[in-house]
Amino acid sequence: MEKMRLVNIAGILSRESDSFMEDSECVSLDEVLGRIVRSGCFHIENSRDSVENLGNFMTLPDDSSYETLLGRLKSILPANEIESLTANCVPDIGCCADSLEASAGFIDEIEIKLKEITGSISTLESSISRHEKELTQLKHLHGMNIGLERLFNISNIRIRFGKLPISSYQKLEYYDDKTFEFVHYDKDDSYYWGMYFTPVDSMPEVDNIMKSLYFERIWLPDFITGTPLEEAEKLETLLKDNKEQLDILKKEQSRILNENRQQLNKVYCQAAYRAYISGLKRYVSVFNGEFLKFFFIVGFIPENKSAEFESLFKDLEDVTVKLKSPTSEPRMPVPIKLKNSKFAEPFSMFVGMYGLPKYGGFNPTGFVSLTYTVLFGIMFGDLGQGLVLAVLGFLIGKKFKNPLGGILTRVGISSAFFGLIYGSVFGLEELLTPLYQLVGFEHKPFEVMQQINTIVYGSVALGGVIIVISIIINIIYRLLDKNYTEAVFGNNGIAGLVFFTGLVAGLISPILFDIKLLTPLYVTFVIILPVLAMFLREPLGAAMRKEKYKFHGIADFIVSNFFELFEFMLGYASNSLSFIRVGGFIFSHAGMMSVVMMLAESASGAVTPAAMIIGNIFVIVMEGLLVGIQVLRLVFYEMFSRFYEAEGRAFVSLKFNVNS
Amino acid sequence: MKTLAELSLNATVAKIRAVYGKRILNEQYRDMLGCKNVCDIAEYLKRNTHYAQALAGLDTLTVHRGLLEEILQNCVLEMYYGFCAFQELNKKPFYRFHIVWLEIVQILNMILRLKANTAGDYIVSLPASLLHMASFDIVSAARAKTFKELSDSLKGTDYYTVLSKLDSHSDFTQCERNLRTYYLNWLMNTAKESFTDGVRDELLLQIKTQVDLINIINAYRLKSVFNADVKTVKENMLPFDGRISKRKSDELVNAQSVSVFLKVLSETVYGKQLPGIAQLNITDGGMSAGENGEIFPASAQSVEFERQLYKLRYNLARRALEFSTHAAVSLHAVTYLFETELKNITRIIEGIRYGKSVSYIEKMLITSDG
Repeated sequence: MEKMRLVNIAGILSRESDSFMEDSECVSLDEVLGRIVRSGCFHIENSRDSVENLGNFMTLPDDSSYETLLGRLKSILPANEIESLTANCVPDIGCCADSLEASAGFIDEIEIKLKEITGSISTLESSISRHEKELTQLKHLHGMNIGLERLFNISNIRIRFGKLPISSYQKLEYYDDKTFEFVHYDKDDSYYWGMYFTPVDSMPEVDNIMKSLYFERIWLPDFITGTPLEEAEKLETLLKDNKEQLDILKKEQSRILNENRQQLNKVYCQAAYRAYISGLKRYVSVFNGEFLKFFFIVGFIPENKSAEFESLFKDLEDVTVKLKSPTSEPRMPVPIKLKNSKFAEPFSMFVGMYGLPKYGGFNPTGFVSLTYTVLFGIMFGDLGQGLVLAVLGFLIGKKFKNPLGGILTRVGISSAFFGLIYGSVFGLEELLTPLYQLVGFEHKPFEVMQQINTIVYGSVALGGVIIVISIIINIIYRLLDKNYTEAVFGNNGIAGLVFFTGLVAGLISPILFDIKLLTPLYVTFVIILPVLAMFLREPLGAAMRKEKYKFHGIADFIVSNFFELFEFMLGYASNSLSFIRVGGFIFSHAGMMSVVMMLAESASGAVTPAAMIIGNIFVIVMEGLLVGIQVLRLVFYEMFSRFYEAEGRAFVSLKFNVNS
Repeated sequence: MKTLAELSLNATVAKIRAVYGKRILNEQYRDMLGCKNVCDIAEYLKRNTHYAQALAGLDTLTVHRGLLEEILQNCVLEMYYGFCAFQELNKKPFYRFHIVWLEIVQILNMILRLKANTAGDYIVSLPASLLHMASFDIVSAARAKTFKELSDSLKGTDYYTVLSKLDSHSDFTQCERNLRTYYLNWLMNTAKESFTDGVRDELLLQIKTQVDLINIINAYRLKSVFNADVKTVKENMLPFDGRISKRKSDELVNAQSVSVFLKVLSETVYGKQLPGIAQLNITDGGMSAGENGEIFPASAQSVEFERQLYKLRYNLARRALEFSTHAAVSLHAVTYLFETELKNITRIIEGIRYGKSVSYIEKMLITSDG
């Protein structure tokens, strides 16, 4: 991972006129923050954590002038125009004393020009929305062949149109004794659309009842008099006219905006930039001295950018930049920026999903990249399908710049390689036989379905090797961390390693090499002693640190450590056996492809190629997804649990984005 | 040894835990606190929470606060019913516990409105889903114009027996106490009859905690706000043994002042989980008027004290849900947790509606880190 440096930036914010220092112009905090942002490599921290105990430090009050300006701009610019108007934003970073006033003045001008048009657009839009709702109502009434004017003119009955929530509809039964009737003509997930009738005298009471039941009235305009069908046609014409008018107004609006595009871009970018800089002030602490006011900023930069960063402030006399060891501030954990090889870089996505390591810890990305690639290849081995995955990954990476593309490319190539060994090309098992014969083999060297035991035992053995490597990584990093208890006596330490490897060797050596290892001496030193060490790891660790171990009751100690030991043993067994899934997926892949072949062969001649293609696509997608998830599970659970603690947090450099 | 039938209920437990996994998280409460009005909250709930489906067809721009709260309440009730129906547990008496409680809440609402002469307003607040789940005709009961009519409409149910011992002159507190006593009695007896040992003990732990907290809060309020005497406090206690011993319970009731009450409480199983409680500076009696004329207990710490007590119940429910492997315990716990979530949302809605500050509202929420 990248080496970091802790940066303290201090500067004089202002001086009293009778101070003993020369009355020179003080540096602007905005300027300093601007330079920090432009460096592109600064991870800012809340400086309050550094100065908490030093007294008299405070944060700056919020200055939202530029936020307000930005808000005004956003309110006058149409939403769909903002992105195009603010594209290629290059803020003017020079500090202009009158920039705020000038910008506000420009916005005033634009507001005046757009005021009338914006008002008309708003009116038209709400009118269109209202007419559309009315049209919906009328469409629901299509079956009714009565003129609405006749309905509205019934002298003693009043009608209200609208929608009633479904929950309220169920309560209408309570009002059976009231003089109204609700008739619904349509229903959706949340509402009954309908109308209620009531005598004129009961209108106020019934209106209140329906209002309390959250009935939402929809007003039909006065000009709607004919049958619903006729009125719907009229409304559609009216809507069309309104929409055309809206279109004209929007074009006029766009014309005005385009005429002022350049200046709008400049003002918007400047306001966004200034607002961003103002927002950063919440990380700054200010010290109010008797004659001087200081500001204090804290953050991290990559070590290789130190010189470049320092040079940014060389010309500012009142600003001091101090670089320190990254761990010199205990309350600020060092942020992590992983540094990976080109091969491993895409796999940092998986590591990020699990969590970042702490500073100085082990960056598992390289290990993950190797194990993931190999395991995926073993489980998905097929030359043709592997190449398809690789090409797909390449295209995804190129078009979408997604790390998944890089991962697919690598695992695709690995799958292709193992496909060569299994002799499988899109499920065709005999296609590579001439190639094998060319290199001196009679037939393909590895027949999956005929070497079941080899695959199963091999998978477990592979798992065992990976577990051993994981434990060794843990031992190394625990030792570097000076955590000797875990490094030596832990289940993922030397004791665990000796026990695990000793037990496995003891069990397989009679079978493989006809050597009986499990003698009493062997068992005592390789099995029992490490188990005892794990059982007593805490007191032994304390003894190693020359500290006294505090027992909280011997029974409690025995019981809790016994169950922990039991869990360790179970963990070794389950983690090792978990790798059987590697073999399982080899079989399942082969099995699925044989089914595809069988179906393709049983189909008629013309359909066979199509069936093969569809079958292969199905297997690539489904098996690919399953294998990807299973390997990730092995990585996260079987490997990471042995050595990895995700305690780190990401390095996030300050970056101005106009749309954020 | 569990029977196969009991083991199969693990499916309900798994379903309950999966659904609880979609609960509103602390970050989401914080997001909601940033909303400016009820419509924003409705939109947030619609887009970002498990209430999305229930609110899918709702026009959040025009939604009424009451409708929003009703839809959320219906959603939780339907969720509860869904858990019970999943393996047909709704046919067993205990699993009706939430519906029984809601029926009692409806009866109390009806009594309250009869006393306030606003009986007609009752139906609006009724959760519609309860209409087809209740054991009596709620609509007929809601039509009652007098206490006797209400009582008669409940004939054939146990509520009739409870209400027949009261009349229209009984005050609301007495009605509430009687109905709550009936509910807790029913709950405990059903739990004891339906389940054996481990499950029964887990359920009774939750129920007894509920009883204790009700008694503690009632006694505390009577002493601190109303300066009530020992006799009044005793009359208002629920007649059940909780987790606090009889001796300690009597000491709490007989405490002559709030500070003595808190000191005794600090020695109980609840007080031990609330460090510093004996040192709280809550004075006796009286109420004081706030800036806007609202009345509240003399110390702002009272609100926080009660919230911490509810939080104990909340934490117990969370632990029960996490560790229990029985459907009844999990269901009882998750129902309480989702009801708490509803209360939190309601508090946020009301707080924003009435222009309260974020910190003010936040202090009223019961969450896992609050």
